[in-house]
Amino acid sequence: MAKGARDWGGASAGNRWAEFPAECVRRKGWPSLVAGHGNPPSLPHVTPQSMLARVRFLAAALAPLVLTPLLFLPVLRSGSPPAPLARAVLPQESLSPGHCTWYCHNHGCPHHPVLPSALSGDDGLFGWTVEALHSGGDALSPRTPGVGYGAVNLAVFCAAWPAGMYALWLVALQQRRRIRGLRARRRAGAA
Amino acid sequence: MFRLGFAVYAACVDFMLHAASLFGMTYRDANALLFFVVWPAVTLGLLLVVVWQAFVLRRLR
Repeated sequence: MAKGARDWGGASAGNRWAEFPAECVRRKGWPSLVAGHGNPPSLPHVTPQSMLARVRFLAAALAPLVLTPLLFLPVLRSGSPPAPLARAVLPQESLSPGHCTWYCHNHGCPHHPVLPSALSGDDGLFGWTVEALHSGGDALSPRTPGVGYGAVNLAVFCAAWPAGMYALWLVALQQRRRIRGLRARRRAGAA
Repeated sequence: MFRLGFAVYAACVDFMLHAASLFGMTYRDANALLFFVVWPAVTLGLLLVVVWQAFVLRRLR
């Protein structure tokens, strides 16, 4: 028997299914079911419903990866003038009384916040988080604190946290599929 | 690598500035709302769903 092939119970009898996984890989397709050769006991039964369920699962798994840029880009291009997709230098914009500009990012926002100061104030969660990010940035890159701040910011809010949320999303989808499968099996067993 | 990181960071700040402008908020408000309200709520919601599903799976097995 070829390496990696499973014994379907008929290898000694010359059953062609004995080499089934290896044959699948070699042919890159489903081997024809020839009468008299016997079916392996654990072949997946592919129905239109199960195919649809797989497509739905894949679509749901990929949805956050597709929807995020679809939401991100229109917002990014919504201003006048629209923001460029890739900046090379930190923009130096002037203070605008009506709305926030890069001035608010570079020098601190002088506009009156809508949310309570416990969330968006300097002595609230916002100020505490910015301080923590600066401390992390200083520890990471003491000579260039601005670079360290940006790197820690990206690591936390663009990589680690979104990755954690996406992992939870995938686990939830996987468990949902398992629950549905177990319930369907139970129903079929009861019937 | 630095250029890419900077471009992503600047795009994220641009996104927050435009989102704040769209919703009539300040840059601070948009940051606070997204990172201290929406994301924690979504994370907690997903965590609760995963724990509940694990409980249901245990019962079904």
